[in-house]
Amino acid sequence: MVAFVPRDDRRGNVRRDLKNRVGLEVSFQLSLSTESVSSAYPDEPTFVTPSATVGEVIRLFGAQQTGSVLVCSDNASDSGQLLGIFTERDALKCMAAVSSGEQPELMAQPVSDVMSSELTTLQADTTVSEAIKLMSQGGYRHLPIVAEDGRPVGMENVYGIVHYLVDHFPQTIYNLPPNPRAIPSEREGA
Amino acid sequence: MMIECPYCGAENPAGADICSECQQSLTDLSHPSFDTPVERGLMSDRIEALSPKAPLAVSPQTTIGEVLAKMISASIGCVMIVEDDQLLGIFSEYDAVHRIGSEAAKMADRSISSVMTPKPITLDSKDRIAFALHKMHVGGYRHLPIMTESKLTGVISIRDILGYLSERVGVLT
Repeated sequence: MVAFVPRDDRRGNVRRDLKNRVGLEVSFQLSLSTESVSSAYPDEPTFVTPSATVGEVIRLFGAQQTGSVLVCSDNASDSGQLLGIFTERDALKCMAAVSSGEQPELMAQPVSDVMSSELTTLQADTTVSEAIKLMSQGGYRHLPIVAEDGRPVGMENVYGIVHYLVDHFPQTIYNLPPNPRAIPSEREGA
Repeated sequence: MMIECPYCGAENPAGADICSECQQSLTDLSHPSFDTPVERGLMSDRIEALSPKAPLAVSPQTTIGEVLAKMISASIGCVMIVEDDQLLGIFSEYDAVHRIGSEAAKMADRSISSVMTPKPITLDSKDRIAFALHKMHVGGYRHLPIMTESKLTGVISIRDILGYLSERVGVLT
């Protein structure tokens, strides 16, 4: 077969390069600073009342496949108000205290005794980049999303953020082979 | 997505080996292109650039109680179970909450090897960061043991990845 050089082989490449340098970078930055956390895969929060025991809440983690619960008031006057958060890390601290014999009765105590009540929260219109900032600066993995009246409506976690970021370059991540060091002996067909 | 044949101009599906019109080879057109600096970084930076933290290693006979105490005092989310320089398993916060949970007092004297996750997936410190992100995102892992010359030398967490990404996308500037 006689090989011949295509006349405008470069055309497609030039177009692609230009798009890369200007378009995608800008759109990435733009979507981070304009899209709200509701597009970054927030979870449905799991709620417990302040009187639930630590043991019950830890069993709930297993049953609900979740890493955090929101402790909400069950008083008639301020029902549904967010009082605190209890995460896997808090659970681990409780478990360590129980197994060392330091506080043997901790599992039967109400979760309100050990929850974190100093909360960093997001609003539904908080931007993704603001959420990332709060998460990495505070070292949090879970941030509750609250409505204007203070009622929690969602839970943003670090996996949701990573999922959102990967959505911007799916080919780079999802098309990887499972083993980074395997070199295929022949090219895979399309 | 379609690609244009540079020889005859016919449109072909992306990834096609030859042009359906003129039968010329199109293999050179389908090289992966990395569109943003973030993507290029993920495919060129190695995991060692994240400076993996030194792992907290324990022997398989260590009791659950001791391990829990160590995780709290070291403010760490996972321990590696190592014997004779071999990585046997990993034990994370997730395992603690889901496999021990409220039974912590009863199980405190059992050995950690009974509740660890055996044979965890590992990566090499020379592997690209994209693979770490792939394993964590697709596999849902929070920690990955990092080996250097098949010896355990570090651990990276999803937080390291988040830090890397947010720096790259200009969030933390």
